[in-house]
Amino acid sequence: MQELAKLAFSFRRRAMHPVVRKLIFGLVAVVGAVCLGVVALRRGESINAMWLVAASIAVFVIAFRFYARYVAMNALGIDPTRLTPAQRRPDGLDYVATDRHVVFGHHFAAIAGAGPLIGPVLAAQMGYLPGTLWILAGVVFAGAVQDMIILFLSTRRDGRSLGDMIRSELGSAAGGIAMVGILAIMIVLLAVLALVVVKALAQSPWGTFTVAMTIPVALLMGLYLRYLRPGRVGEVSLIGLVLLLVSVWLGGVVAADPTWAPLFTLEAKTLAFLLIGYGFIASVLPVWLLLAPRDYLSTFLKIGTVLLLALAIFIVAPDLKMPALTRFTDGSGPVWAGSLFPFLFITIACGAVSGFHSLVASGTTPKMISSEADIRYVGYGAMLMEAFVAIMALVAACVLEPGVYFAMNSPSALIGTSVESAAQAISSWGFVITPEMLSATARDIGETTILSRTGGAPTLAVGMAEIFSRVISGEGMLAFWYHYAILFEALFILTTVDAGTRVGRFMIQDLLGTAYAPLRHTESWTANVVATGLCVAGWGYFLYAGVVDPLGGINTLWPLFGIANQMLAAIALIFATVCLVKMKRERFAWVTLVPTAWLLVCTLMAGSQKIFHANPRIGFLAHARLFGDARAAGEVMAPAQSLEQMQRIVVNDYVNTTLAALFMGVVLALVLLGTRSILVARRSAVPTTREVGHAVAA
Amino acid sequence: MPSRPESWPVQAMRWRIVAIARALMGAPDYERYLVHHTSHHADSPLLSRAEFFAQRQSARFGRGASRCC
Repeated sequence: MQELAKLAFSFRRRAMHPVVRKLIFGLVAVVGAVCLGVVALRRGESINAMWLVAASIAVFVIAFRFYARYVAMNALGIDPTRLTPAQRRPDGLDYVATDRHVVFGHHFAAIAGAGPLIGPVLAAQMGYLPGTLWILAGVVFAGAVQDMIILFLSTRRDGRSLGDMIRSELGSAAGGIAMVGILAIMIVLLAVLALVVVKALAQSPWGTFTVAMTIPVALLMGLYLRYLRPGRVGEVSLIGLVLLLVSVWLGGVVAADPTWAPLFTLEAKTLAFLLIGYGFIASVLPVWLLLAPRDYLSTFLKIGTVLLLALAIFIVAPDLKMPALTRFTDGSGPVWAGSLFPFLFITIACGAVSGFHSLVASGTTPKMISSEADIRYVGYGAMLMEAFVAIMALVAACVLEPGVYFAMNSPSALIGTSVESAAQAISSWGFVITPEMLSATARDIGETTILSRTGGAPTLAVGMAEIFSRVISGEGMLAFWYHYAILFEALFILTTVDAGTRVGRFMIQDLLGTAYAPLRHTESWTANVVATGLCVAGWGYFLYAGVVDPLGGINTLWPLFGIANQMLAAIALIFATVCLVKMKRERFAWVTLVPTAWLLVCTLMAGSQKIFHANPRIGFLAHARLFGDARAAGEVMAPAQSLEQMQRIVVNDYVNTTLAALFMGVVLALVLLGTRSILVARRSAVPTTREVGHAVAA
Repeated sequence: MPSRPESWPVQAMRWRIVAIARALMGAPDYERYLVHHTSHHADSPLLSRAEFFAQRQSARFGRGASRCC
């Protein structure tokens, strides 16, 4: 069928004259350079978002056509004649040679998550320029390169997972260390994403009701798919979408109702415990009932909303109100503490370079690749798309009045809890805003307050609502779009939480199984509950600590997550470097060594600053000392209300220190083990890589 | 089920869009399985739509899907 489809379509793709092609790419390069110049150099008055969008698209086109092609053809030695796993062992289920556009869609849906939407929003506190430049440079030279090379390496190894490949190419010690690292990253990821949802829903009956409704909707879809119309995912998702839109509308009614509204007006702490309970239940239930239908629904909504946002940005062409650079590049920013270098480069992880993608690129995608020639399009291309999503998130955040942005993202410890104190504090930073404007914005979006709604999601939602409501405007549309955007983010974050908890559970069972074999039995209810409980307790601990943190928790958890994610990227790139050397292609090793070195510098710097920095807003140990000393003197400092809580804060600091140290230890161990493998491989006169299929490619 | 694309570009286009949409959603493609099964394993038993769907779903989500951040 695929062949027929290809045949039917072979009339496209007429060969273009080389001169014409050169002219076109030359033109793209010129347009890109002009747009980038405007983005980088224009100061003073606000600039239009289209400059940023056009510059990004031009950069992506040029990078895809030239750099990606160079890496694929020269460094990797892509061989279109070589059989892929899908061709060598088709089983009609996992291993299926698939049309490249279909694989692209599959891969993009699997890598796109909440990360590229949140990181850029948080990074906007330094202005739109640093984030934009890092997203563009990062994706071209690090992120997309990583995704493509891991996809390539896994395709040459029957679609095996990253952990497996590291074990066979770098030894079992490296494999074991990487596994522990991946589990720790998973826990931090789940905690920070859950925290984003809690921050978005706290004290918001409209949002809470709407998001809560996704559970019965998903259950309904699950039953429908199981018993009524098996396999009709498309139609059931449409039904789900309609039900969701109805619940967004119903949420507004609930929020306005004096008896119902208090039921859904919840404290952050309550929400955190509800979420922990939800995560536990959702991941032990049969997958068809809740997890799978939820995943279909969230993917449906995610793709649709991203397309809608792109379309709306093109139609509205909004102006960016955030300056190119703010005074907070010096590290004194209220959203997160730390200077531009190294913290910007870990704040925007997904969108520029995300280690998590190496797990996806070594999962189901390589089993669907029908020719190595498609690897550049799928691996590099899908990551460029993700970077584009990140750019759109940045645009949405920068469309807001900077005063509103800072009111939403600064912790109450810095701006207080009234619109007057917030307006005064933020105006004193140089972003003029009045209390009336802050109240009016809250009223427009159908909320009681917008102060300290940290975590990125509400900011993005206001930005998206602002853009959408200029396309479809009308009475109350801003509030509808705001809660739609919150629903969209919360839905796929919760999907990550339940699916991720399940992944974590199996990782824990694998690890514990080596110590006590019965725990490995995935059919056993005891083992299931124990491992799930451990996983939930792990992320639940960090979630709770984040919820009670006076600085909002995002301040602590997001950098830890960024460090973890970039560390995983560094590990994947080290592995890729080892493979290049083993393939006897070491003259191209700079392709992976340069981004590896950059990621190592950024993450090790950021990691050690998070531990040792003298400023208690940045350094965990300094923070522990501050609270420890106060406690010793018998003082109680906010947010603690008792000496016992003071003690808990100190303990949290030490836990965070340990975690940061663990990440650094994991990556340093992998650097050492990788270097050893490289030295061994260099001594060999022939390729020593362990590929499957063909004899080792020269 | 729509007819095979044979020489109809419009049909082929439709098939392709449906296939891409399914891949984006992560929905199992029973039609593709049918084609593969008839051409490769015609002698072994064929899964029904419901069986195929249940099998695919547990394979995909059984160990939790490694969703990205």
